[in-house]
Amino acid sequence: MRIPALPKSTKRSLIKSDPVLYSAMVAVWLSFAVFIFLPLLSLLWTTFFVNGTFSFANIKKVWSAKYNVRALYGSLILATAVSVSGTLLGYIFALAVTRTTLPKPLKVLLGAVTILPLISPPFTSSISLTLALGPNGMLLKALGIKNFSIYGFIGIWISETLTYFPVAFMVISAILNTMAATLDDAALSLGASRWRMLRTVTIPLSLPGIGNSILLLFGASLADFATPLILGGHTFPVLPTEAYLLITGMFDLKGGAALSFLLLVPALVVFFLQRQLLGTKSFVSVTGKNGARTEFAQLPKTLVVAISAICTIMVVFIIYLYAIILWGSFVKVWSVNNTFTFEHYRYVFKHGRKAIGDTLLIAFLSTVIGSVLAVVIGYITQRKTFIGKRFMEFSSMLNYALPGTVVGIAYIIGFNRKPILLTGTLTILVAAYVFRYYATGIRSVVASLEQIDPALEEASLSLGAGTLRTFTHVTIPLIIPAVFAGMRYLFIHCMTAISATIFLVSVRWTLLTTRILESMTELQFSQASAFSIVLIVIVFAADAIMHRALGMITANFHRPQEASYEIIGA
Amino acid sequence: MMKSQKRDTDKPKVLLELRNVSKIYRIPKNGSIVAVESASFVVHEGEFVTLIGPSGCGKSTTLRIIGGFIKPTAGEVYIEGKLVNDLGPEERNIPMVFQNYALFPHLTVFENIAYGLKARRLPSDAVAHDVAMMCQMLNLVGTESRFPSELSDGQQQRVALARALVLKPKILLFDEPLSNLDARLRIQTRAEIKRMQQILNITALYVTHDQAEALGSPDRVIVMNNGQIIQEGNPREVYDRPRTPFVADFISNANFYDAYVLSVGERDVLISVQELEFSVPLANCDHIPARDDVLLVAINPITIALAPLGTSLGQMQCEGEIEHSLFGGHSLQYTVRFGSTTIRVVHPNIQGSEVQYSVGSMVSLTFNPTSFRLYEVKG
Repeated sequence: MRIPALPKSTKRSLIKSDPVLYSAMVAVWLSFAVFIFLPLLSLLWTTFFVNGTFSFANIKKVWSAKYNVRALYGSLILATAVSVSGTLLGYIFALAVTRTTLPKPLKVLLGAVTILPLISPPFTSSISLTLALGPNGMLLKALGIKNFSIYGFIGIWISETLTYFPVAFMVISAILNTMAATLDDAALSLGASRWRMLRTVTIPLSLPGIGNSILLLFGASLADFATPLILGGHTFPVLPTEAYLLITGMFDLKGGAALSFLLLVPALVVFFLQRQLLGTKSFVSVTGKNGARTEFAQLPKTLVVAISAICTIMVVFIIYLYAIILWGSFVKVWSVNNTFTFEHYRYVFKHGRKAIGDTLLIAFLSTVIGSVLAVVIGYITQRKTFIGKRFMEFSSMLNYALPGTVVGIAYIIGFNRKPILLTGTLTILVAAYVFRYYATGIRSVVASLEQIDPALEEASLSLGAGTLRTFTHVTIPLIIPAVFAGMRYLFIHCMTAISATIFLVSVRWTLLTTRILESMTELQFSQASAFSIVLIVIVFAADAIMHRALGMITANFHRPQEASYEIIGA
Repeated sequence: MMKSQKRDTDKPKVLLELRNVSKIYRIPKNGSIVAVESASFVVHEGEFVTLIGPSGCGKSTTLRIIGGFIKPTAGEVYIEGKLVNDLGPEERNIPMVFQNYALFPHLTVFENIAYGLKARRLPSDAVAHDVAMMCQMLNLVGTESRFPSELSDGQQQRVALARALVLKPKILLFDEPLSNLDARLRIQTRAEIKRMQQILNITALYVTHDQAEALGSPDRVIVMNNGQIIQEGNPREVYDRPRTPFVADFISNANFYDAYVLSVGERDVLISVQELEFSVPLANCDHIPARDDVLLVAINPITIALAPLGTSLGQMQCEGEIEHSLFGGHSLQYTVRFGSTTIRVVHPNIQGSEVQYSVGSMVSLTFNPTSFRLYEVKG
């Protein structure tokens, strides 16, 4: 077939035809260059270049220390264990909520309890597990168990499973919910037993969710820093804590960089696997062809009993752990002097006021800046075509995919000398949070845009509104629920995350989470509990305010489905 | 824009012109797909033109190129004589009515209709006035403060129409605007669009894949297939004189048979089809055939008359046996076996006439060879 040549006249440079898009792209690439590529390349440079020449010396040195090798294996074993146990627990919870006829309030309670670990600072379960199962632990005393040590693999495993299973629950329940209920009916009407239906229909169809959940949990556990720091001790070293101790304890930047490189490799593998999984499989089976929504078929009776039992035990246990923290924050000295006191809260509001203020300011700035960036990046990568689009997508997720420890170390190495000297500033803290956690925002914006017919924007253009007006008057109002959803997670992460920023705090800027860590290392459990409670209350309040604001904004129209659970990647 | 009915008797003004417009999509590994190939046509002021073709024929791409949503790979688009290739949709003033309405869900009916006026920064009292007038014309009074999700399908469609019409555009583009409506609403809305188009003297370009829609309202029909324009003309012309077998098949669902040329006269061709002989006007043939040629003959199912066996309706008749019958409301469709083949016949369902042939009964078929179309067999 004859192909007409490209006429030259129709080609206009982007800067002329769409100046808004052009300047947005320049701004995004520039910010990536400074806050994503510069630190990472600095990290690689420090790891692999000794006196300006390429060398494996740093890696070899780190590798030769037996302790570090143990840390690598420890990290991998722990991540595997947590991803399996967390996914299993998450699946059980998801089945309970989506596939049983448990009373509605009970299901709401199940959902609520799984939210708690997500919005708590990362130490919460470690602290309460220490209080319950540690030396002089309440539960140990009550059950009369002796010779049990929470410190080590078991403790970290339990604590991380508790912290991360909600992620598995959300990913899996999202997919269980979107499955067509008629498939259940079809299986049963074709003569399958309920067990068979579960085995041949429900579980196979939720495999993408299971896979995604395992990868998410593997990555989260691999990157987790707070739990092993408190519960690991010297008996069970893992990479993030080793890197932290090398840098803050021995000021060995090169060693820290090399260790974090060891951590970077498996994290990147997980990241690529996950992209592969989500990229190829169509994730939901919403066909739009189903008529009236039918109920999912009931599970086998014995399974329902087992699920109910497990969920009940877990819910009671989680509530118990949070109750311990609350109680612990009100007693003089935990398990020694149990008299009621406000002493710790007075301490928190007196000596912790700066940390509260700083944390709020940093979280607020990061949320606002991160959301704006997320909208811009989400919009141009979903709606526009340009050279380097896939690379932009990939780059935007990079800091998020890497363990916080790696990002933190990369930031101190990247920004501790001219031309960009940011060590100890507010900027470096905000940047670390923004470029790490806006990823959830981007995902929710992209997910929301995917559901919005481009014809709406085309209609606006064809009615004579310009690109910018279309963006502000049509696109933004339609994706605002997704933006808010992203904002909520961004804010929660900024309030509670520690793994990257632990390297970046200074005398001038400090965080609530680092205060909790300090209290823990000084064995001031009650203070740590009081800090945790204050933090949780702030997060709850802020989240409620944002939820209300969103409700008020969108009360007027039936908005497109809010971006769902999948976007929460912990 | 309410220009009254006065129309210039001399040559109508050309509002829209496409010159050799092509759109080629390059696929990284598999070369390229030609969505539109060298399409050229004009639309005059006040004209209602439909673009019809099977899905994937390039009609929507053509419309979107005109709307400014897609840049053509080659060729030029002129609006009122001005080259608009480099203008974005917002600079063209040719609003589009979308297939799924594309109403803004976060805006009320009023705000939806006012959207384009506000984008043009009209004073608010002028906006209010124009919107109110539109609501009146399109029977939307009372719905102004509602959201699109609270409207019926028909109302949503009318809001979409009002939103475009209120801008008093030079040209209005329709992208299969009725395909989401049920059959009854479709007919109603089609009439509504035609009425508005005439009242406001609007020039419209309308894309559809539905033959009834394409032929029903327009001044002119453009048939597309495989990215190319196949035929252009008024509906009657296209229906009665399809230029290619594709058009005959797509527009009238014609029966096709091999035709053997027995002799070629000055004005007629004598052909043999299924051992029957017909004399077809030479004008119905797309080329000058020679004796012994094999041609393709297209017979429109509605040009064949059925009668009980023995009744004579004309000369060109034969016997056949009813093999299938399908009741279609306005008409009855039969498949009739004659000779070694079958033929589809559409028989009007006239009220009161009890004639309905049952399967297996014998009938007499009467052909009208002046309506036959003859095509050269290609390839």
